[in-house]
Amino acid sequence: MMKKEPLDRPTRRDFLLKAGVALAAGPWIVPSSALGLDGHVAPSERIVIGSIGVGGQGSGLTRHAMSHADVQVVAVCDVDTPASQSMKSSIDERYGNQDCKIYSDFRELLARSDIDAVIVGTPDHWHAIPVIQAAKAGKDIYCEKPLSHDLREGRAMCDAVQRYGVIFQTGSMQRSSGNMKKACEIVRNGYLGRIHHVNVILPDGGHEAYVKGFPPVPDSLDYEFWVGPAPWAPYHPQRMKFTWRWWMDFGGGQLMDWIGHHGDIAHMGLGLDEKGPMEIHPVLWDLPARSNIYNAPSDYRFECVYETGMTMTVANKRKIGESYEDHGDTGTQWFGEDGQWVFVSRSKLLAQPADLLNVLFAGNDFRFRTQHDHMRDFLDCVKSRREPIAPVEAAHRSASIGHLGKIACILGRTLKWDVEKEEVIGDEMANRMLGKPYRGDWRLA
Amino acid sequence: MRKRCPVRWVVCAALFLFPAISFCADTLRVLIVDGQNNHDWRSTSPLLLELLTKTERFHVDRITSPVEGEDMSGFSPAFHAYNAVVLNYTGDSWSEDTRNSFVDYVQNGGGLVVVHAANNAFGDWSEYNEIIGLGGWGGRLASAGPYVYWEDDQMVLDPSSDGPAGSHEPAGSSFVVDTRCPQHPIMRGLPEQWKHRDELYTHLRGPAKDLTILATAFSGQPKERGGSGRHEPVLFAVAYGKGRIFHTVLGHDVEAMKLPGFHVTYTRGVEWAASGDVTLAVPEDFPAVKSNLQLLTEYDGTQEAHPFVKAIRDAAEASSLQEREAMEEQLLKILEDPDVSFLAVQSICDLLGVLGTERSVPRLQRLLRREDALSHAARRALERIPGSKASNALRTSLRKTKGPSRIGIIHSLGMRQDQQAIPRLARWARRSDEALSSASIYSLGRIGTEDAVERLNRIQGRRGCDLRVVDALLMAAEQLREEGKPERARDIFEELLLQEELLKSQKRAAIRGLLSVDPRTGMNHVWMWLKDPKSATQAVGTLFQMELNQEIVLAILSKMVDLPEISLVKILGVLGVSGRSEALSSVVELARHHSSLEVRTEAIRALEGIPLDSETMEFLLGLALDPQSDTGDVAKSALIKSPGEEVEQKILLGFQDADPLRRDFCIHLATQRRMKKAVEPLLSLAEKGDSAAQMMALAALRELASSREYEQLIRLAEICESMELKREAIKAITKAGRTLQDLDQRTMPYLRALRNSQDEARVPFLGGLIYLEHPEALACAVEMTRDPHPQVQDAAYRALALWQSPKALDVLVDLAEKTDHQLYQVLLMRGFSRLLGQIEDQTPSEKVNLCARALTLGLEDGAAQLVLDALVETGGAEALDFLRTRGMDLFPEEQIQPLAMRVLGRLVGRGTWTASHGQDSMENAFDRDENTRWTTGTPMTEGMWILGDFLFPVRILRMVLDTRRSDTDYAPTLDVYLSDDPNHWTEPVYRVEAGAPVTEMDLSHLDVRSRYIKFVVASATPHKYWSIHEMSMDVEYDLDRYPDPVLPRVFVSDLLQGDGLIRDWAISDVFCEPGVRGENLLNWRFAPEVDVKLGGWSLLDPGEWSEGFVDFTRTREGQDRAIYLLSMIHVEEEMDLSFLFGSDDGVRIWLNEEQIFSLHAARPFRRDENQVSVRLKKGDNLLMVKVTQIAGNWAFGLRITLPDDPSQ
Repeated sequence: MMKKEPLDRPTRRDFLLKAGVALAAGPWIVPSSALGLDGHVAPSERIVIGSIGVGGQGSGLTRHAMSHADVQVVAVCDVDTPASQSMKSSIDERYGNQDCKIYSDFRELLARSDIDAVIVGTPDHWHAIPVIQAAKAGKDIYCEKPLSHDLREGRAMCDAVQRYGVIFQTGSMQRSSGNMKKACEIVRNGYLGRIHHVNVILPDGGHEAYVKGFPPVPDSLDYEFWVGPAPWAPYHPQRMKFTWRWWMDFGGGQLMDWIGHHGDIAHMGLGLDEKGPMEIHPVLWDLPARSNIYNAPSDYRFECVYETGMTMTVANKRKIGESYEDHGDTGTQWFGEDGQWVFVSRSKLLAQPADLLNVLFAGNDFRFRTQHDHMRDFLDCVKSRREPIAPVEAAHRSASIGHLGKIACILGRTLKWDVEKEEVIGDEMANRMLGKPYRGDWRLA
Repeated sequence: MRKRCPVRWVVCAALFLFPAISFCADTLRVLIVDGQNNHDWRSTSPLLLELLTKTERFHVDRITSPVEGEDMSGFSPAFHAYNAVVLNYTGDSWSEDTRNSFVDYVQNGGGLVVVHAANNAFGDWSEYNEIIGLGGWGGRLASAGPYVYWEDDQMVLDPSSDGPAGSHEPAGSSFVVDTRCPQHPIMRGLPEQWKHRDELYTHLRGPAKDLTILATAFSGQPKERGGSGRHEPVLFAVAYGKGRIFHTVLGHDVEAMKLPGFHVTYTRGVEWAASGDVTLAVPEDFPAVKSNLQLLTEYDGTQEAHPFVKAIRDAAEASSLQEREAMEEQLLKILEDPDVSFLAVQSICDLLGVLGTERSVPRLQRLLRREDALSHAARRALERIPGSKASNALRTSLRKTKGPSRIGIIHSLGMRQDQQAIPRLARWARRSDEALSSASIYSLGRIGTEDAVERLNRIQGRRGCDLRVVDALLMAAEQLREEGKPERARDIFEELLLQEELLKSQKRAAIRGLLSVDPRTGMNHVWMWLKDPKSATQAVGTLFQMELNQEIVLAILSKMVDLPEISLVKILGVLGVSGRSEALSSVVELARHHSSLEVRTEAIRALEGIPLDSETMEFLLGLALDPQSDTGDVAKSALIKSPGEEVEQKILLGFQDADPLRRDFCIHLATQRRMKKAVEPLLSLAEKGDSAAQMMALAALRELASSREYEQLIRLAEICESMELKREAIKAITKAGRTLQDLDQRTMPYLRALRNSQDEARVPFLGGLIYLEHPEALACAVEMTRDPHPQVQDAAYRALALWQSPKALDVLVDLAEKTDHQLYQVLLMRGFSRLLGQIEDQTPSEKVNLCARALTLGLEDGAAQLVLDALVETGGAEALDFLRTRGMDLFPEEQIQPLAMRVLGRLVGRGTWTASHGQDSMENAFDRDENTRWTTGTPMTEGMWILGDFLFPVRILRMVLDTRRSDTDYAPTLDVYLSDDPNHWTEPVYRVEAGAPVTEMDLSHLDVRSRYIKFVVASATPHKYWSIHEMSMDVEYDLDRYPDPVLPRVFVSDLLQGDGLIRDWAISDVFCEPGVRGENLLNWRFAPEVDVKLGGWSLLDPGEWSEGFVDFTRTREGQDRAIYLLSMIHVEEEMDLSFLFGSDDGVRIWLNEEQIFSLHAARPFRRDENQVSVRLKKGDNLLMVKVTQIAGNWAFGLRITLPDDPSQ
């Protein structure tokens, strides 16, 4: 029997993200010509975009943005010359001109007054500074997840975005997926009953490499800038594109890569976009057996307790524990009190009982916007000035799960978290790990 | 029995040979006892002796016992003559005298050293067990004493677990030994952790009296490799009487004994046992495990990457202040070392940042003043160390540094909010050096006190507007606000808004700031933007992202009416989002009276988010019910969506409304809102209302009622007068009953109502009967087919035709036999055919038997055709067998032939599919689970393709690609190519224009047979992946067209001259069927079992031949599948032979099409594991083998021998 138990009174943010009121009214709707379908959009109507960090993910995002007719990408920035060169040629080819400018210092790109919005597709340790500076310059921002490289950065990013009132979309694009939204709607509207446990099932780690030599930095790369605010580490090509993630000073391993997806969806389903766990218990933080250029954990697991008494297991798939019956994918699984559950991943939406998926939502149930294109949602919000589906605070809170889990696991002790003040209660060491001083003359602004 | 020469026991009388070194005052006398041991005592004893003599601390004798099984009575070592005895013995019992002498020796202060397997000895000698503390094997069980291990910093005696004593990890394993009792004389000076390689004993048991564990090792191997997952004792001391016993479980062989981990602890242990003290030194090269701090010291970026994380953990685990201080001292000491690499310094500074105290400040300060990377490293620590000392160090270093080092220090002072830095920062904020002034301004903002604000304002005053200062002031103002000084914050925001040069974002920030502390004034600024339609979006954008409190909403309302229309529309959106009831009356006012439709519409829409009062409800109801109203639809939507208790009360009241239009609309709203509390009023309306109201109420109850209302609904259905009402009621009953778990509870009241009803009143009840899975319900339906009332009879047959539970299958066939009524026959067989497709728990042959039974009843044509179709759908080889045999007898060939083709098509299956893109297997598109999919995993582009290989030329009649679960992920245009050569494609034969997520292609008009079919994206939807959740097809096969497989032929005469292994095989395709796994794989008849032609045979690639067997694992992935092997065996004359074979996993074998062996197993491959005797006929013999894959490896190997071959 399906039991419907509404959550607490919806918050203001709920209304913002909600389908009904938020985007239905005529004047908010972006003209169809702007939807990138057929229509031609006058240059003055276009959103002018600059792209910071155009390696793997950044270039994909830029191409996606560029495919919308109401976007004009005019500048790219990267410390790796081949990356920016190749991005420039794609952009110029798209627009049939040679107008795209290349920068190697993002501050020069941000100084351009004609740029409305930026895409930040840099590695994790390079999110906070460009985002805060872009907010200061009044640029709207699409920034990759995980939002931040540490907790203090995340807070500072939220403050800046909120202070300057810029539109911010996090690259947690699962929030725009139909399956994910449906799963969240089932949970949010109480069709699973009161939630007593959540599994956040993330990919297994275990990246190992024991390299013999450290080759010289290629001339085309400004490695000093690339390391930027992070602690210094010698250059190695296997610690650059795609693989910087496995070095904890640049990325955060599979945990931080995916907490901004499956952890984020867990929060979205629970309406906890502005909350976080009260307690974090470490279970597992296994380092790769033999590796001198990677130090992200191969297996990791920690348990969180939320205000309502709900528990959450965050772990890589093979260590998630017995409550998870393997559905083949990584994803998010919410459990109701009577053993019923909903599981969602990128390719699956499952439930026990299966009937839950056929739920007929009530007219006044909470429903998300139907926009499936995450970039489009951002562009629409740039025009309407409404809050995008993956707002900065939500991104900060879901990244916080991972940051806190990491600290708890490294210290090997339970953390008690003050969700409002964002401080660990009674643990100075842990509090000193929430943020880190930057290298060189970089600052958190 | 083997006979051995008796070896006389001897004392190796070193004593007599080397009298010169005997009896020195500090020479200890030691006796090594050996002679029997399941270990190689002949080589270990001399080493044990040599290790001791080398130290020049001992005088050593050795005594060797008779060999195993010989007379032990004369074996009587003079224990008492020695300071210590080393036991390297496990074997036959000693004589009673010897045993007594031994116990007496230890009891009276003799030293004893037990080496490795010596603790296996004398399991039944209780004094011995007490002396050695713990033992293994030797018949020791739970009665020998508890298991003993180390957990949570103490020794654990675990008497609860049953099981024998003693197991071990493989010899030669490396492990780490933890010193557990560092103050013990033997352990003094040994490192906390050290490395050793040996055979690690686990699961030892014993009385463990007066036992002190000196060292343990963690046994991490799995249980089947002897591991325990525990910290096992490896060195321990026992006190027995006055005697001292040192027990080492190390020392499995000479290799292990040569390692320092053994010989150092052994010699020290002997010395302690003999004398009570240890003078032998620990050598410097003792293999200590390096501490994390040591590793950190040596770190230069090229070694293992974890010392930092591990060192933090060490610090976190340090329980006392002293320990943490000691660690800090150690870190500081490392910093002093000039040879430490920069990366180590950086890591140490990071550690100090987490755990450092003021004690670290002086050293860090020296580093801070270095004009290089070290300065930044030091700052990483100093910025986080609490207390004024660190602040002072940073501040006083300002003037002694320059460039980036100094900028960094300025930032750190800002992060620390160091107020004493304000004057200097204020001076530097005015410098022309851009970097210096920017950093200083930023840090002043970060410090954010009133003093800092004062200084920032002064800069502003002097040089006009400095945008950097604006940002700093904004930051400071927020901080003052958080600290409870909203007036100070307000002043800042207001002053900023006086500046003309602000960036738009800065202006927005100042307005948002002002709104948060003084909404009324803040709104004044928003109005300026709102008044201009061009900037209205900006204005409401400012509001959208704020917490809209009561004050802000009131401020908005106070001036709202003066706005231009566009702005008004936008601000209404803001009010709707705010969800605040203060806005209600003003919004309603606009909704009622504003002249512009757009404003009215937006106002009503805003009501979706605002709790409504009764008056507003009335207004919205009026709009929604007025067919002329141009805002009726929005009003309706607002009524459905708006929050609040009052709305729902009002809706319930509406159920009683005299106006049927209003009443029905309220019922509609209740249904849309899924209002549980509407159920009760609806029930009473359904009972007492007029018939229109009843109808409406019943329809609503179908949506809202739950199992709780089940019986009440049944009563309602009974008393309803009209058939229509009854039908409506029964729909509601069926829906509500679906969730009732108890079958009786669901069925009995319903049957009672049905049977109580008269004549045609039973008809609607029969309609609902089909959803009851109870056997009684089925019996009732059958009973009703004999009802005298023809309408009831008819309804009963129709109900049975629609029956939901497969239990009805037999009943349907029975009834069909009994009735001559053609229509009823057809109805019943339609039901039969549908149910047959639903059942899952029957094998294909059981299903075929059911069909066969129906077909022999002599059904009329239409009914028979239905059964034949159902037969085809069972899809198994059995259906094909039936059609080809009895089917041919019962029906004309032209009717059977196409059916047989269809079965064949399903059997050979859907072909093997590959795709140009995507990591997910195409299997997901065939697993009959619409939640899983195949996808390109990247936006679709023209030219992406999927390719099917059907093994033989086939004719594809129909294909369906279903993408509904990712409803935009279909390719708008697909080109279809056919070919017999996957490397050669000509023109597309067909183009599909898909307009919907389900792409259905009728290809039957293409009279082409081909082995391969390819779909290529001809036009793509931008940014969308190409995905297929489910894919199905109808394929026509024509067996006669298929060639015979090419078979390898092997000659027994050749085989018997060699090892008999058949190396030449034809190998089939891999077959699988969704849901078929385990033993069913062996029983499922895949295509080659229907016709050997259908295997997709190819000759075995020599690369798949692994020593003695065919290894499928490397080339064929996946599990739950089967493969076939084929070989032609030639003999000159009829001959009896043996097949010897092994398989991973299950195997079934046919010889000349007759099954000769079958075994379901999930096992590894073992040579010759099974055997069958066979008789080969003269000439060629066809051998076919089926091997199933459950999981893991996949292999098969078979050899032929003569029946009496001794090598079997």
